[in-house]
Parts: sequence; C-alpha cells; structure tokens
Amino acid sequence: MRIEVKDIRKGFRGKQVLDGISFAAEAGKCIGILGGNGSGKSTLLSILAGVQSCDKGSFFCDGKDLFRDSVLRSTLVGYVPQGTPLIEELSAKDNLSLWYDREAMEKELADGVLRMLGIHEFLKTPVCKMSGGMKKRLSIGCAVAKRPPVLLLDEPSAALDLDCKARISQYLRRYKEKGGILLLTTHDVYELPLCDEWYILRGGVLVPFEYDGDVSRLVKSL
Amino acid sequence: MGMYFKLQCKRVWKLLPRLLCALMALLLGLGLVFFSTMKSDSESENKTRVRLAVVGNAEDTYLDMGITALETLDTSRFALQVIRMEEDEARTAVEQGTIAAYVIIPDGFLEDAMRGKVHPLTVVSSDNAEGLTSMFKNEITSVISDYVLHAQKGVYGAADALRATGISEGIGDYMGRFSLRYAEVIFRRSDLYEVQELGIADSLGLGGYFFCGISVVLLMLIVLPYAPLFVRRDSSLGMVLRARRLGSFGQAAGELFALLLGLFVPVLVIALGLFGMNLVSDGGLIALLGTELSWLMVFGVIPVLVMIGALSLLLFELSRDLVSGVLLHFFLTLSLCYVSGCLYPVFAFPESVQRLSVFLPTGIARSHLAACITGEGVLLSGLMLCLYGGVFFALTVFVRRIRLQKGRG
Repeated sequence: MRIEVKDIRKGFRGKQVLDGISFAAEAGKCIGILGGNGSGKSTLLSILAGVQSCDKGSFFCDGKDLFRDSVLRSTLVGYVPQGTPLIEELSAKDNLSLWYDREAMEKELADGVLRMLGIHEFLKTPVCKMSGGMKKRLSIGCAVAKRPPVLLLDEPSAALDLDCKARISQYLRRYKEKGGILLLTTHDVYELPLCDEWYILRGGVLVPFEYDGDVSRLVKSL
Repeated sequence: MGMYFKLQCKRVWKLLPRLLCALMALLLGLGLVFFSTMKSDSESENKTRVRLAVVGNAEDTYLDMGITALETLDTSRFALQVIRMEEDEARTAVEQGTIAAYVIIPDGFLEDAMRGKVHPLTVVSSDNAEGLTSMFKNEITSVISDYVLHAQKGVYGAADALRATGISEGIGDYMGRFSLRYAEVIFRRSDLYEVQELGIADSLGLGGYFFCGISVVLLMLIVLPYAPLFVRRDSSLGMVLRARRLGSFGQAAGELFALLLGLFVPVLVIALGLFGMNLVSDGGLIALLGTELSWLMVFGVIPVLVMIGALSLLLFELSRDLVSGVLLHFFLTLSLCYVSGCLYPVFAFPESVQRLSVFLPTGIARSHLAACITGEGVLLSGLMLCLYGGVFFALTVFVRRIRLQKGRG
C-alpha cells in the first residue's frame, strides 16, 4: 500500500495556510509533521480525513483518489483529532459501540487492539471520569475500529504522562509493523523516534527534516 | 446514524430521572397553589354576598311572599341576602357594616300601590355602598314594582271584575293561584337572556389562556437541563463523525430526535399529573380551563416540541460554553414568551406587538395549544410550528457545518 498527497492548498481569509503540500508514504512507515502553533498541521490532517475541504489538491491511496470517494476514504483512513472525540456522559463500552459491532468489540477486547490499548481496564467508566491518557487510548481504539490501513493522529501524546505515552507509542509501533501507515503531527520529541520521515510545516510549505536526536537543532529549524 | 441516535437517547435517558423529580416537585407546588386558589375563591364568593335588610310594613301576605321568593327563588339570591329587621336594628347593622343597606317600606305602601299610588321606598346605606344601592334599586325595587304593583294590580283587578259580574265563589283561591303563576313568570326573567362569553383570546377564558401561555414557557424551560448534553466546546466528535460520513445533518438529526424524546416524556408525565389533578379536584381543573382535558392536547404538543427542540439545539450550537448557552436560552425564552403574551395577556400590549406576536414561534405555540383545547385550527398552527422547526433545524445544520469546516476542535 502507498499513499500520495499532492499539492494540497488551503486559504483562510486571504492567508495561505497550506501552500502546495506534497508527500508520499509506503506501508509500515510513519510520517511525522512538526511545526509551530497555528502552522496548519491540524488543518492538513482534517483535510486528509475529509472533515474540511481543500481549495486544491489530491489524496491517493494505491492510485485511488480518496477525495473523490468518501466511502473508500472512511474505510481506509482512521482519524484521531486533537480533542476528545468521545461522548462524555457515556462509558467506554458505549463509546466503542458507536464504531464496533458487538462481536467485533468482544473479540478486540479479548485479544485484539482494544486489549493492547488496555481499554478493557476501564470499560464501564464514564468518559467524564477518565484521565487524559484513558481518553486518548479510547479515542485511538475508536479510530481503528474498521482496521484502517492509514491512521492520522493529531498530537496523540499531548499532555499525557510518560506511562501513557509509552503505551500509545507501543501500540503505534505494532500498527506500523503490521503494515499500517501513520501520519502524525506532534510537538513531542518522545514521539519523533517512532517516525521514519520528518517534515516541518512552516509558512504553509512542508520542508523535509532529518532528525538525528538533536533537539536544539530541531527547535532552531521550527 | 442509528447508533448515534441510540447513544444520544441514552444520554438523555440518564438525565431523565433528575429532570422528572424536579418536574414532580414543580407540579406538586403548582397543584398546591391551584387548590389553595380554588378554595379561597369559593370562600370569598360566600363572603362577597351582599346583605340587605327590609324594614317597615312587611306584614302584608303578598309582600311577604315576594320577599320570600326573592330570598329563595330569584337568581339574585346568589348575590343578595335579604333579611327582615326592625329599623333601629337595621341602622345599627349598617353602621357596623354587617349589612350593606336597608329599605324602608312605608305604612300602607301596598294598599296605596293597589290603588295606583306609589310611595317612594327609602334606601338607607353607608357612604361607601353607592354601588350596592344601585344594585338594590335594580333588584329589590324592580321585583317589588314588577311583582307587587303590576301583578297585584292585575290580580286584584281581575277579582274586582269577577265580583262586578256577580261571581264571588272561590275568588280567594283563584287570586292565590294567579299570584303564584305570576311570581313564577317574574322570577324566571333570567331565562329571557343567554350569556355568551367570547373569552379573552383564542376563544379561551383567562384560566385557559394562561394554561397555554405558561405551558409554552414551561416547555421551553424544560430544555435547559439538557444544555450540558448539547452545548459543546469540543467539536472533535463531530469531526470524526464527519470523517466517517455522518455529516452535520445526520448528527443534528440524531441529537434533535433524542432531545424530542427527552422532552416528550416529561410532557407525558405532566399530562398524567394534570389528569390526576383533575380527578382529585373533581373536575376543578376543567372548570379552570373551561374545557375537557383530552389526549389531543397531549399529542398536539408534539409540533410545539419540534419547534422548541430545534430552536434550543440552534441556540446550543451557537453557544461556545454552557453558561452562555443557558443564559442565551433563558433570556431568549423570557423575551419571546413575554412578547408573545405567554406571561401576560397579549391584548394588553400595543397593537404593533400584538401583530408581531402572531408570527413569533412562541405566539404560534400558544395559539396552537389553545387550538388543541378548542379543537379548531390545529392543523394550520401545527404546520407553522413544524415549518419553524424546519428552519431552526436547517440553521443548526448550517452552523455545525461551518464549525466543522473551520475545524474547531
């Protein structure tokens, strides 16, 4: 599997937020997109997820234009936004039932993705009583319900404790190993080793960056 | 959309017990106010019966019969209580305020009356009983003049005529029967007219009018407890749902239907409460509304709920946080309901406001509830409410689409 993003352009009130974004990724790869606040990272992901429309550009998966086929896009692409895409008053199980049918949920809870994310530990807890880490794990659990080969994550480990970051990172590695394509935006250096390619989004343009563990060089580049 | 709707219903369902408890407390309070008002009304009715005394030459059989008939048969007995007294006693009673006034029947009044001479009756009252004096004049003197003068003149005249032709046997008996027959005719004078009450608005009396107005206010306020469920600062769920092809329309529709269910259940509880109150009060509620309670009234509320639900969802969608959402909804509810005449009779407002209220959604809602009571014009007002509901829903979808497009997560 291969995804290809071509010449994405998006403007808000005369300002060009995304100005010809292009990149490609193969199966089992992770693309990390870095950038300052308001640089357009979240906008890029929401366009690829189909939430927002772009002024120009295309998004291919194995040669099929996902912008033109919303059914295929919703099957192939999982999306975890920055906030909490959950129903606060309901339990983890209720939230999962929005995306999983009963049998699939039970199977995943027994020995699948949901088990790996540790969701079985707080299945009956209402979302409003969960920690940030629990919410994020549950959000990822919901996003991968249809086993999408492409997963878009908007700052997946923001404001989480180390243990939770480690659990999520561990799951994302497994996801990659199974041939999934990850596209994540981040401010967190903890997540950078997970990525195979790095880009800095600056002035609406995507600039390739070679991360070698030198954080100070990264900060200067942003 | 099916599962999203189910989950929204589940959220609403979780909130219902607390909402119903609050409603029960509210209904209990309203019931107590209702019964205490009914009780004090019936007590004050007895207190407001005017006491009038008759003094002087009341020994005559026919005058006595007239006063007795006035006390027992005439419709004025509900407003007047006639008492026979001595003059000194009556004067003291007027001074003490135990009677409103007394009338003095002069000596030889009846005999002179039968000869065609009318002595004026003297009415004695306190200074502040001017209205009662005119009432007395209308009631007592009309009976005395109609009954005593004309009737007795006719009866006695007939007797004289019979005697003049040489018939004297059984005349006394005939005179008595004539008098009673005449009395029957006079005291049924209220049968000569029929009172038709047009009502103050929408063909309803004041009780029915306020029942409809307050119901609209109550229905709009019932939405407020649901504000925490539908006011959202975080649109992430909406974004993910949109990514999974459940767009703004499907999301808003699922939420609106759940909200409508959440509103209809309390309406059913209120309806059962009202039916119960009516049973306990032995039809007292029906007397207040001036109509029968019916299931048309209960199910006729649905278009009102559609309008209120869609409007509320729009207001919640426009709000960025819970406090602003609740405040916006509360003040808009009060303003709309006030201008629509839900809190105060609309005919008391300037004509321009009255014209405006006809087109306001809350004004139509009030008229629709009135139509459900009278059974006239339900379809038209119901359609207008659904139209309003449709417009509000379309605006909600539009606002949500913009929010998701802007990616406010």
